[in-house]
Amino acid sequence: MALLTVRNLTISLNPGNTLVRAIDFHVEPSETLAIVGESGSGKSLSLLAVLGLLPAEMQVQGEIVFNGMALHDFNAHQKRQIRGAQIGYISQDPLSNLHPLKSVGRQIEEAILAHQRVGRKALRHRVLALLEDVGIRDAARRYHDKPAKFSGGMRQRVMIAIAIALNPALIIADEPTTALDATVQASIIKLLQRLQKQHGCALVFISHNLRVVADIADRVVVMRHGNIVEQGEKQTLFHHPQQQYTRTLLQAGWHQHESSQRPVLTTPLLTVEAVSRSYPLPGYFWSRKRPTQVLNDISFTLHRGEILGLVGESGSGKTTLGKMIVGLDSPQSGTIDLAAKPWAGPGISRPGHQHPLRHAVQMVFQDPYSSLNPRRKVGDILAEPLQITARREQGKLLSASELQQAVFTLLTRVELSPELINRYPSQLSGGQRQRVVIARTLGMKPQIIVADEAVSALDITTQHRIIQLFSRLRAETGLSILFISHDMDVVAALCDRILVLEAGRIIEQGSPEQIFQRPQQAWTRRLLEAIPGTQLPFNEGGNYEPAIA
Amino acid sequence: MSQQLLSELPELATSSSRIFWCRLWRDKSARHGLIIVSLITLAALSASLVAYLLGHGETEQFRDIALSDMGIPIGPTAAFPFGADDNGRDVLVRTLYGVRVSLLVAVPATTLAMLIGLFVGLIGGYQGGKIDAVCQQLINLVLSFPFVVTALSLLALNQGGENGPHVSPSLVVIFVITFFSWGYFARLSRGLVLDLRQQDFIHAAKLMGVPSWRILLRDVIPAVLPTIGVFWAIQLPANIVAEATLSFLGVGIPAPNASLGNMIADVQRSAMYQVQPWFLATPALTLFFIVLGFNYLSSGLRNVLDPHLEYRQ
Amino acid sequence: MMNFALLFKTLLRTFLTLFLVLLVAFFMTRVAYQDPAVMLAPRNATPEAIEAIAKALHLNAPWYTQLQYFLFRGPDIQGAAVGLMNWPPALGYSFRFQAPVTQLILEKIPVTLSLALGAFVIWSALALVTGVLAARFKESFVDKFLGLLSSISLSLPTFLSGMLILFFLYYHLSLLNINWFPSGGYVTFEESPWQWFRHLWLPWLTLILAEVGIFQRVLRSSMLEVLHKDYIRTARAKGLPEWRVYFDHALKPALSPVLMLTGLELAAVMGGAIVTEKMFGLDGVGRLAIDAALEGDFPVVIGTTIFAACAFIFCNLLTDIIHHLFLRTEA
Repeated sequence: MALLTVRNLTISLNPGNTLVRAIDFHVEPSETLAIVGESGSGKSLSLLAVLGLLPAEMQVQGEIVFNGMALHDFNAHQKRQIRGAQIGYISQDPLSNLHPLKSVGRQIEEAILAHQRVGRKALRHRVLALLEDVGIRDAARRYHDKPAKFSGGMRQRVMIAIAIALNPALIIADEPTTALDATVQASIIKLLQRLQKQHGCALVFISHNLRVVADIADRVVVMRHGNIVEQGEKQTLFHHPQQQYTRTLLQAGWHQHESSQRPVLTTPLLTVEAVSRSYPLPGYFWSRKRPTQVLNDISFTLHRGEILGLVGESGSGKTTLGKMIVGLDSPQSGTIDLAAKPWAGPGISRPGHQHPLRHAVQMVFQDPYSSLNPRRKVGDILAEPLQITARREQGKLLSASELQQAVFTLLTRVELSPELINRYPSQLSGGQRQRVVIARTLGMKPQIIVADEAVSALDITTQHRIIQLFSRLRAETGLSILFISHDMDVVAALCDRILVLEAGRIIEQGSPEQIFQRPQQAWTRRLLEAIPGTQLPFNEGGNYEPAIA
Repeated sequence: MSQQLLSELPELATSSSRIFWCRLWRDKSARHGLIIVSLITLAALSASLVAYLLGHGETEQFRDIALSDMGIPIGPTAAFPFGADDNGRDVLVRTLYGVRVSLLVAVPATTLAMLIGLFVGLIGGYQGGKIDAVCQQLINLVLSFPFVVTALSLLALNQGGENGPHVSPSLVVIFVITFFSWGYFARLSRGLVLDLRQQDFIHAAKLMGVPSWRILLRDVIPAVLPTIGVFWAIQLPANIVAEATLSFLGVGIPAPNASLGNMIADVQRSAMYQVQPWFLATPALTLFFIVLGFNYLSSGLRNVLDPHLEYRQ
Repeated sequence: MMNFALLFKTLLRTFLTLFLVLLVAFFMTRVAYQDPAVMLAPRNATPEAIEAIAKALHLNAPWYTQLQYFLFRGPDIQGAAVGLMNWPPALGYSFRFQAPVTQLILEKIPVTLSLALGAFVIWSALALVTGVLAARFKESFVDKFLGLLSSISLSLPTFLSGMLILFFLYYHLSLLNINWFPSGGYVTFEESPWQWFRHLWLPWLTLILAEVGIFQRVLRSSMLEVLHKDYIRTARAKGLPEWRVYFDHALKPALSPVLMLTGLELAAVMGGAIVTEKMFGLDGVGRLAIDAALEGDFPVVIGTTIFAACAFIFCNLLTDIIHHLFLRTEA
């Protein structure tokens, strides 16, 4: 008998707005079920309905049977008894999901005390054991620390400890690794696998990326717009997908590495020489923090028309390097030259100051929500760079009709419809916003675009399409792109060359083939191993080929 | 072809300001507020007209017809719709003038305070560093001074001398209220700008080479203005109360001109309200409703524009 | 636990603000009052007496000398110390009252503090309960009713509520021969705790009426915002009962804006709830201040202004420290 059976589950916000449409799925004891879908698919909502944690404004209908109990008929008190004790929950962002003012030890204690009476000493023992079990070293010392003192991966381990504290039969993990770096993601997934085997519980793993679940899922459910598109055993779904959407997700998850189409690049455009930077700046005598070296002796060259990938995890210094190249930050030592003229270095107060190509280095940011002024329309946002360029190149502004024409052209180049001119950013999807940001940079006629985690906050299929856009733009205009990401796989799909950054140093560089087939450094190997879904069959090009049914 | 397509670009269904008014009307609090505020504005505008129609001026005393034999003011009659005060003056007319004075003092004072505070907060928040430290210190300094006592000193000071007040008291009241409220606007504005400075679209503008003043004008101020505007609506009733308090204490709008505050002070001094409640009820209820109306309105504005406003400093 | 560098910086900033307040207060007098000696002297003083006062106050000395006397140590006036850097800080001498200002203020502080702190405790407790209730039963009858009450509280100026309270709870009751609440006056705690309480009840009520509305509103909206946060959902996912979620998880983070508000409002009230003191005949610092301001007794005005500014600075320092100790989210 299935551990959890969900039948005809419908969730709606108000009569006109149905978010989840009569879906059926089940979870067997001790199995791992993956629920995959993009934003708006209803995957999180469905599982929140099982827990009874949906906002009060939403209406739920349907049958939810867990361990023989009809949860849909339970009152609030009964539901509370199930939560935590029999169903554990791990959510996406551990920073916002842990109470900021309580110590981690206390938060785990609460999970236990919610359902059991345990004495002080025994309680402390259990919590310490849990902390060590989830891999937090030095648990005794960190017992009373607040969540802000932990790294993202550590916080997620605390959340996992909370979820398994009472040995529940079912654990629901809602995108537990989406906000984490690749190596941390890999270790969290391994942890979940181990704990699941240890405790014999069932695991429901929600994700937007099929690839992440490829290694651990037994069965997979694919959702889209509130419907279940396809579900089945993992091998069947991955090798013989029935639906087109499933195939789209598979293709988006496994990028094609196009080694044949790489251009030969010879002209250096940007030269970075021995750049270093540390924080905090010296000068506060009462500050007890020792300065941390963010970048240490960085040297590389970006060629004209090249897409250069910069791979690193949090704390590697990649964002700082990106900011230095666009001029939002300056190096403490070393020099940066652009087109053989000095861009940053000693004696230059602000990077790019009085450089003729000041305008030609632009940035695409990670967060599509803060990259566009919410109070300006798209047309207005795009008009600004166009007018700046016109004034620089022609000495005068564009007329109204010329401007409209130019905005229209920009939107077309990034594959957006001209209707969007009058929309506000809040009326665009994440992918559309990111395209507008790219269009804005194109309006400045850039020669270098720094893309700082430009696709990390997007859905998987959107990521795929934006990467293709970048590739196309390079082919059309010959611009150079510095593509910064923590995702080795995405970088390898797009870039001609890859730089691996660790703790402020470039530890390895080469073409994607060189890096993937002959990694030199241990850290590079760890990054490669952290790429999920590598156990499925690949062809010689390193491409995963789903068989067409 | 492209020209033709451009001319056919569909216009968005409603402009954003139309959406705003719709949403504002739909909010219950705002609706009540708007109705009350409209009535108040109407009242203020009609002061002279009503005085003309009734034939009673703001400061004219009608001791023979308005006071009883024992000197107690009469209640509502046809000639004096809301009764008279202890000096035989028409309460309705004086109340309407009082409403006008409240608005004429509080609105410019609040607006001026908003402009000054916005500016100081902008400069401090955007520039950061030493300039910000100076701005912060200045704001803290202004906020530390107690309102009533300092206002009193300045106003009493203005009254002194044998030749009467040096500057029109109403102007001094406006100045004093402005001086004491700009600090709150500045704190709010600075906080907002500090948050805004981290946003990527500001970085993007810098990268495009947009000069700082232009970024402030085109990106920062429009982002900050709705929240500051809502705070204007929140601070306005507070300033109305401030003016009324000063007038009540005798240092605001001077007699014989009417202000809701000094009307209530007259009431308290004569203690006649115990036998004739009307000449307390009218200014008191009017003042209460003015403040209530603006409070409802500001609540509604906050719901529509910026639900996270509450004391964000 | 405590970040000493931060504490040091905060204290430094506080002292700087205090110093600036003193400077401004001093310069206010130079600009404000034309003929201080006349204003300070008792009425019907002879020209020789006024001249003597001017000499005693060193009003003919250059401004920097006067500033030095004001801040550090000046020659005594009528046997009273002068200069702020003394201990206790000497705030000048009032000729009207024929007493040092510091002494005057110190005499009146207990009254003001009784009024301010007593009212504060009661209105905070009330606001806490009603704020949480309103958030818990959002959009219900309870919430709407409480919302109406707080709207009324927000819209009543202090002098009006004071008058209404006197009218209904004193005058009308006394007509019915019920003398529960006296109309004014103050009895020290040492004399009779019960009378102390009884005489403060109406003034407290006036202040409470004025303040409870805004506090309730802020707490309610803050609670609602916190209740939407993810960590509240985690708390529920653990299976914790609702009341625990409210009081143990949501309340503390929600108090942050309330704390900030407390700094402002408590300071204002501690600096002297002027209208309330005047209406109920309480001989506190506020009453002293307003009488002095109206009469032009500028040493007292300066003294009470400094006192109020100190109250403000102190209250904000206190709330900053409390925030740092209990509501800080970084380690």
